[in-house]
Amino acid sequence: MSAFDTLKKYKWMLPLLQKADRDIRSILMKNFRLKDKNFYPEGEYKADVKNLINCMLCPNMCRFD
Amino acid sequence: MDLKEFELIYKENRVEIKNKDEIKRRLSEIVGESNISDADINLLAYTKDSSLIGMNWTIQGKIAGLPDFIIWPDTIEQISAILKLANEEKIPVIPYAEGSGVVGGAIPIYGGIIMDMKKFNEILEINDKDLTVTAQTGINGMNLERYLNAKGYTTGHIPQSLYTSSLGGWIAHRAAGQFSTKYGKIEDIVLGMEVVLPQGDIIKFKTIARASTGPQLDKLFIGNEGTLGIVTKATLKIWPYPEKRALISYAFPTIEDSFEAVREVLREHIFPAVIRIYDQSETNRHFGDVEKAKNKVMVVFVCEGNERLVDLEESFTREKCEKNSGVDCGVEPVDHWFETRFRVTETSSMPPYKIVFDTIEIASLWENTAKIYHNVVDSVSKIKGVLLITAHVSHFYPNGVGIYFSFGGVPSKGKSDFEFYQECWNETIKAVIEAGGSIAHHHGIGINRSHWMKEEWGEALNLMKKIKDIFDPNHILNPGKLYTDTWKGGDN
Repeated sequence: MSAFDTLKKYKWMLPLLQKADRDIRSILMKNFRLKDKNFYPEGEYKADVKNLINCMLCPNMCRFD
Repeated sequence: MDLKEFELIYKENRVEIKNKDEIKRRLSEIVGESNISDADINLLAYTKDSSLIGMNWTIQGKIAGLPDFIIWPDTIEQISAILKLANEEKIPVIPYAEGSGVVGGAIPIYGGIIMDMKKFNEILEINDKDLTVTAQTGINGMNLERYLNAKGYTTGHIPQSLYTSSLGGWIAHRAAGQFSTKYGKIEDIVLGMEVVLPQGDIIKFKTIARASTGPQLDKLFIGNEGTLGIVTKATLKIWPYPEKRALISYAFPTIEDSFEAVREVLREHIFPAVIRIYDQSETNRHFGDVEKAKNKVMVVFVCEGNERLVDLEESFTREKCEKNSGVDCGVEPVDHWFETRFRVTETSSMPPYKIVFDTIEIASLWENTAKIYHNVVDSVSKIKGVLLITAHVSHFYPNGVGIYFSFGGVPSKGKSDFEFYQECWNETIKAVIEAGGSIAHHHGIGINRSHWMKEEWGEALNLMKKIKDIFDPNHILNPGKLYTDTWKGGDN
């Protein structure tokens, strides 16, 4: 998905963010910033963690078809 | 990997199996060694259902409930023998369909044996004259529907989880599909069943269009959530595949206008297969490109079936929409819905951002519908950290509706995601009860709603518990659900 498409897809969220309390907005921004660190192992690793997470959270769409 | 290293969410009431090796040997004798596992990798796969909080737990390395064995029976006699053994040893058995439930119904919170029904996947017979299909209940929904479509039929039961759910799961939690306004819910579709009772007895309810033969005992098993018996085979109504579809959409100034238009359509005994009302927030989210719908309430309709009837339904539907200030938005919004209707992966993108998201569907009579909608939106939006509380209405009757709320947000400082999640659930359900609604429309009770069963059923819950005692005196079948409050959220 291009950056433009991503922005288009999520533009409905902007008013929600603007309405949120400052401290909540700041928690959310931190979570967004740390998305690729929050649940990744520390140190060196060889696993494809990004795809492991995708797979882990998938509602098994590929399991039956 | 050692599963003991992971935090277990539901651990308080776990049943300890002392002689596990011996139990495994006896289970292997019943189903064969290749149809039982206690390997960590298999146990892990069955620790949760599709509850959205479960995704947050998964990414945090937490386990919802931990089973002791997974077992894949392929005959009804095996199921019967497993249940007899489980009764003898007082081991919980959790029937498992495809794990797409979203309220914890299949989570093995007391441990025990997960009985995965996926080998019961045969379509046994189509009867064109009676318009029925008979199938084993482990059959995947999409596989059943594809097979029927290829032969020129449909069940009309098309839930969003079609690709990830099975016939047995639909029956267990009393499901409803997207086309239910015309074709009915699963309780309207099932005509006959074969059931294994908790102590191993096998009973059959004959397939019949309708009967006056005393209380309809078979209905007890539709919505029993795997606590009263395991349905192994069912006969369903089918319909000739529709020859025509009319796609209609209208935008309304307010949600009340849209309710009135739809109510007036249904009063005329007109049943569009699909009706979906999106509140203003969901309209902006899903139909942001539709200029005429900006900040309005989008309603999509699909009328289908015989061409002449569809034309008539379409003209009635348009008339009522226009009478109630609806503005015609063409077929594109409906095409968009058709393209995206099975997408259940969007919510999977939330946990990496530590966002807590969930949906809660409830039921209401028309009289209370607007009040419930506003009550829930007002109360949940006041919770610190909630970023969105929106709704669509997707199941309709001449007498009422099923409303589907979605909430999302982040817990404020000092609050865990589970506490935040529970607070949102509690506020929603309290607001629904206060405004005269019912706590669930089609996702069932599971764990998440167990706390409110008393409020929902009153004294009748005691009767329900007595029925459970009669059917399952050792409480081995899916314990901790329906009759027991296992919701840890209290009334916060």
